[in-house]
Amino acid sequence: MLLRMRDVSKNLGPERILQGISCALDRGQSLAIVAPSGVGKSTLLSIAGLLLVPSAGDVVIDDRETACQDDNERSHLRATKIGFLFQHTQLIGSLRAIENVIVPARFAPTATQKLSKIEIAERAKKSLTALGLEDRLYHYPHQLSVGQKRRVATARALFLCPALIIADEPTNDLDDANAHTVVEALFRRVRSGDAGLLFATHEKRLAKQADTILYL
Amino acid sequence: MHRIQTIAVILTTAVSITAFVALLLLYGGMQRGVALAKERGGAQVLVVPRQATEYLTDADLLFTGVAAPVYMDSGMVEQIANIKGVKRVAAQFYGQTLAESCCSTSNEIRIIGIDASHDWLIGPFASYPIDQGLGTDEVLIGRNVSGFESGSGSLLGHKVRVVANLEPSGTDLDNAVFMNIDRLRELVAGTAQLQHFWDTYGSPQKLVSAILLDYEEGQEPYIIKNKIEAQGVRVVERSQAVADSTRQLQVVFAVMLVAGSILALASLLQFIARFYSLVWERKSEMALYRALGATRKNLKVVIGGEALIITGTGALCGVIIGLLLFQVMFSFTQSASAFPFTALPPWTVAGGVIAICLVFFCFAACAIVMPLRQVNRLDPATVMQQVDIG
Ligand SMILES: Nc1ncnc2c1ncn2[C@@H]1O[C@H](COP(=O)(O)OP(=O)(O)OP(=O)(O)O)[C@@H](O)[C@H]1O
Ligand SMILES: [Mg+2]
Repeated sequence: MLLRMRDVSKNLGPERILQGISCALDRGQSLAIVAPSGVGKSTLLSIAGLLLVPSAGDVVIDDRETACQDDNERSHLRATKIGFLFQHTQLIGSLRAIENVIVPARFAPTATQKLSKIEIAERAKKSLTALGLEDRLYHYPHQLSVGQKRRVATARALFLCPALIIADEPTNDLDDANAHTVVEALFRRVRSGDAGLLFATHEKRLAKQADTILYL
Repeated sequence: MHRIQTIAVILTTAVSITAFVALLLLYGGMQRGVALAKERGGAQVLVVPRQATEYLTDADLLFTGVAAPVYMDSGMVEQIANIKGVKRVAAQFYGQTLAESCCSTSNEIRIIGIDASHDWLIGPFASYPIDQGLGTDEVLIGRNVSGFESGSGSLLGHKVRVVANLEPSGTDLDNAVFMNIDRLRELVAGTAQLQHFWDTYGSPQKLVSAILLDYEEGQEPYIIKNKIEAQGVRVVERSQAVADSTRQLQVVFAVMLVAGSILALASLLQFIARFYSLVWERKSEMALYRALGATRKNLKVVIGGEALIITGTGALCGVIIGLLLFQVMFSFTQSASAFPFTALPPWTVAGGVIAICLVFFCFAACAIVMPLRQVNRLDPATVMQQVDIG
């Protein structure tokens, strides 16, 4: 199983944000989380992406129990198995678009070990081009529109072809055409059976594209 | 912003390392010069005409020799040699080349006439034994004297032959030519431009410029000194002059050392501030790296690497500028030539430079400890809350 969450709860401060959530996702499948703002979508995705440790319950990634893993093992899983598209894109301001896309390769050397620097750059160019950013490769984030940043962040999340793609409100700030491009990019790898997609949204239309919908 | 701060730290590091490198080389060189002068410079006591001291200090007299032509009666040599407690004496007669076509050298340099068969002062510096005495056309050449590369040349209009070169001494010996004392007297007597000296002092055949001597062991030095000075001459004792000038030197260097240490402290503080902000200002960036799968160790390598580059660049610049600065100061001290100065052997320089750099790398290592601890506390989950990254 690519991702399984069992009875996951999360307290943040005195507040219980999530209570007894269970779900499962395999390669070739997609799962949408739907909830109003402030309910805990991002929190749940962070737990699935091993950024947060649940207060109770457990998370299995690619058949590995993560509860007993140490920080290095969890980092390794993040680097090699998970591609995260953050709600607030999170590009690095001092790096150009293409350099931002390549960042994950720095911490997962085995994933790109057979590629030369030039090949890595070529690959980044290709994925940015596929997202319609061929003329924005060398721009810095502050020179990009919000929608363009989101597409760069999408390219980064998919760069190492992760098995588990996690996307937090991927179509925010995007017009219909761009939203379609991003969603297509995310789903393409699901349809090919190489990856599973977990995403949060409050757009019903997008949620309906998923195999399963989880309402919080 | 990062870049300006980084450059500032590199510059501070470079400047303090520059100061230390230059200080090391100068201080080391002077120490060595004093030690060499002690070891090889020979005579304990220098006797000069009383009027010489009107315009020369004891240190000038001892370390640089008497540059000015000063003369006293050659009978003085015999008189002093006969004083009880005087072990051995060597007389020297000073002449000079002229800035004319008389000589091989292009500038004016000193010619020192010595009695090589009684000399124990110049011999140790010579590349070839001279205890058989110097022939009328034979000369010894100081390290910095040019114009005699072919092994021969001319002095005051006469041909001479180089029989030996002198080891560098760090003193004005390096800038002098030595020849047979009687031959030099003959040559200067026949040189019209120097005639005014002989009008003042009498025929050069009966003159000496300085008498170098050693006391017998076990005699009270001040008694001998008084006896010599009773002859109407000035006595300069090496131990006293060395002690005086060494003390002066040490005061100067103590001041420089304090200044250098303040600079070093400043760069330590700069290191701490810069390395701290290396993590602090980029907390979001670092948290993102963690979220994308970087381990704590990965981040420490990133931070440590940047710190190493900053320190290394600063150290490299500092060493290069320090060596250049030393060259400038070296030629300055050489031309002013107030102290005996000998360049340090290269391996000593290398060792010193490495030690200085090591100290700065230790500073950097101390300064990086706290930022690296911060990396441990960095929570990848903070990436969810942050909006934009620098
Ligand atoms: N570090 C924290 N400490 C305390 N409470 C927090 C913390 N982070 C988030 N919360 C709270 O947890 C709740 C869920 O937050 P979360 O970001 O998961 O919501 P969300 O469903 O993603 O909302 P949105 O659609 O607006 O992004 C919110 O009420 C928020 O106030
Ligand atoms: Mg959210």
